[in-house]
Amino acid sequence: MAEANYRVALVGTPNCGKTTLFNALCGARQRTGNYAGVTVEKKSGRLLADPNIEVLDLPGLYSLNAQSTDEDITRRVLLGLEPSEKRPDLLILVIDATNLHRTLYLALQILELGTPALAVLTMQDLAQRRGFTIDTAALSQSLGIPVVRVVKATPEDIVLLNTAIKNSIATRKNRNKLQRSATPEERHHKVAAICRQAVRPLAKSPGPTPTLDRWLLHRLWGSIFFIILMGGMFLGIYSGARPVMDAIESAMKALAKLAGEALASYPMTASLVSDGIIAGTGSVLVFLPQIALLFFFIALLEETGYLPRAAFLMDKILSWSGLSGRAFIPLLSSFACAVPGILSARVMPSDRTRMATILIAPLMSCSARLPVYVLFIGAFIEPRFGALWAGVALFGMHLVGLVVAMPLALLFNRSLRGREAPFILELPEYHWPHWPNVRRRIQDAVSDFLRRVAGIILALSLAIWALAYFPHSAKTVENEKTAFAKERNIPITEVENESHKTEWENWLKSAYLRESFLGQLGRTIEPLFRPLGFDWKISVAILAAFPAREVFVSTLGIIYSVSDAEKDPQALAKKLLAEKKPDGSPYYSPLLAITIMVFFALCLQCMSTLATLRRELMSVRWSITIFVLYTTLAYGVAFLVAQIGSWL
Amino acid sequence: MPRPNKALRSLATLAPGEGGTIAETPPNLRLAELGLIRGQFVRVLGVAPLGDPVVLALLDTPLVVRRAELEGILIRG
Ligand SMILES: Nc1nc2c(ncn2[C@@H]2O[C@H](COP(=O)(O)OP(=O)(O)O)[C@@H](O)[C@H]2O)c(=O)[nH]1
Repeated sequence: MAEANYRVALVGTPNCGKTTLFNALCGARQRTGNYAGVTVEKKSGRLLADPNIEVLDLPGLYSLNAQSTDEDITRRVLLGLEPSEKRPDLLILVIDATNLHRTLYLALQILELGTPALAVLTMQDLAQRRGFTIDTAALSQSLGIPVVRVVKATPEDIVLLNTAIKNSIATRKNRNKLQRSATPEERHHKVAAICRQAVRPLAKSPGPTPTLDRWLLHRLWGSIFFIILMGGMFLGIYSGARPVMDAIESAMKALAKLAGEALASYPMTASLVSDGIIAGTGSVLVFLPQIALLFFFIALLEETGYLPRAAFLMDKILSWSGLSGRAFIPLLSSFACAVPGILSARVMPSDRTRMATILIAPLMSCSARLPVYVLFIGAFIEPRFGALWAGVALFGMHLVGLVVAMPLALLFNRSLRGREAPFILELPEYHWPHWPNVRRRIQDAVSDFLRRVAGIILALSLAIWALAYFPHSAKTVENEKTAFAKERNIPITEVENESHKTEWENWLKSAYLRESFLGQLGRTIEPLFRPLGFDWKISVAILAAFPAREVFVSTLGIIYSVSDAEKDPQALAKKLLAEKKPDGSPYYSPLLAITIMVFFALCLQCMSTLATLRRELMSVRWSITIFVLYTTLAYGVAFLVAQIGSWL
Repeated sequence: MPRPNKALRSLATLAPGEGGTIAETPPNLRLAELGLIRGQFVRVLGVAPLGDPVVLALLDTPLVVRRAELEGILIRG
């Protein structure tokens, strides 16, 4: 797009209605990015009414005395200190009628700088519900700049705002340098005087918010409501997305099969297309239902005003580790999947706490680890110790990550640099969601994931595919034919007969994987895993599970020549039970099963999570650091389990 | 009639429903900018299920603050 002639910036406190205005002003003509060098999201767009005017939605702030990275960005842009950002030509100060005093405090502080500005008064409808109204003329008089009232971004109001913006730019007036206040007290007194002039009481009704809060913030009823709501939300993401994910998976499988058959005469291309490209695309698409659903719920929580209340209720549980109540939703969502969980940390202001939350999110036991737990608990715990202990083991596996994560959060919070605003929240009026905002939120999350994360996931899938496919030499077939025939006691010529077809195919697949680069790598690193009791088969499965954790089960399946281990873990479990050590004793024990599960619970064997981490922290270095850290951690804890277990 | 000698109490220790005028506050720029300044009326609206943080009725919109942040703010009333 051509360079815009003018830049206007929306400025206001958090929750004042800035983004709603921005969406209405720019519609689809907006994009999101990042400010240089920091993880603060940058939203900019072009005015629908005049593409020559660029609009910037600056992060919300309470004061120019910035206390977090977000606030600092806004301060720097306003003062023209941000090198990559031109100083805005015009500011749109957003004044929230239901939070008049604090929004005016910020407005005054900014007007003291002398930048040309105009003001928008939002939320007048909610103010009236609370029993007062605001006289925009009086407000305009006191501030010395035009004030436009915009209620819920109604098109008529937006037209007026557009006109006001264009007028301000044309006349280049509206510069009203207020006298500086020496102290916050002095400024507060000025604000109070303005409020006295501009606020007109209507009726003595406080509106529904205090009543709702008496229940929703109640120590008992509020907690019960919160638990039910979060439980519902979690189940919604966990199982609500399942049918769509399954549909995507089976569609991709069908497509892969189709492609495989169509390209049957070019085996390598067939495998590249179906196991590489199509499967890789599938592993990107499969995240979309969860991301969309989670952001739908989050948008509802934000749009009704409940989100800060949830943070209030949960703060104490998390504060000891240096996190805050705001971390609750990202962490809870990570139990479904760390990818949407990490993305949802955007509800937190960008600071150290957000970073710590993102860093521990992958330790929450996600749903992709479940098939691994189910396989091993089903095969080695349940038959020996009964259903009760199987349940305990499953619960324990979900706890392991959490138990490790919280002290780590404390450590991150102590050692990470970065600014940190004190934990202070405002509790806005409850209101009905503004649906365009909900839609925009989901759309942003999904398109951002596709644009910035999907590519890496796809590339890594292809790399892993290549490692698992090549060298794929023709010699393998001949050697394996002999081995297969010997094992089955049949003549070599009968190996490819119809009666052995599936078995032979599975056998050959297993052999190819064993001899692939990935298989060789697995055997190379086997000595590394030996102290944990893992053989090369487990090592290969761990490596192959990098594109997606649940692939661990199907890879073991391939190694053990089981047709479809994901659908039929019993068949694989039988093979594992039959696996013998050289001395003839069973190779797998409950202890080994637990060791594998613990390793899996802690390691960061998930390239999608890593790709998302890289995007959200804007740092390849951190992604690699955290990968190494968690792998080491997983190894250490699994090693302890294996050692202590073998003494008992 | 306000009794001039009425004891000052710490805002951090008030129970829900209690409140008064801020008599003294340690220098805390952020809290001051959000409205916790001398002479301002403030009331505790509620307490989180685990005892911390608290919700304050202050200016137009309730504010959630951890007790530790309120240390040293003294209330008359
Ligand atoms: N009733 C009402 N709600 C509004 C109005 N403007 C914004 N909102 C809602 O207020 C909430 C906060 O607005 P948002 O634009 O996200 O604020 P931001 O945090 O400043 O970007 C959202 O739920 C909006 O739907 C308004 O004029 N009237």
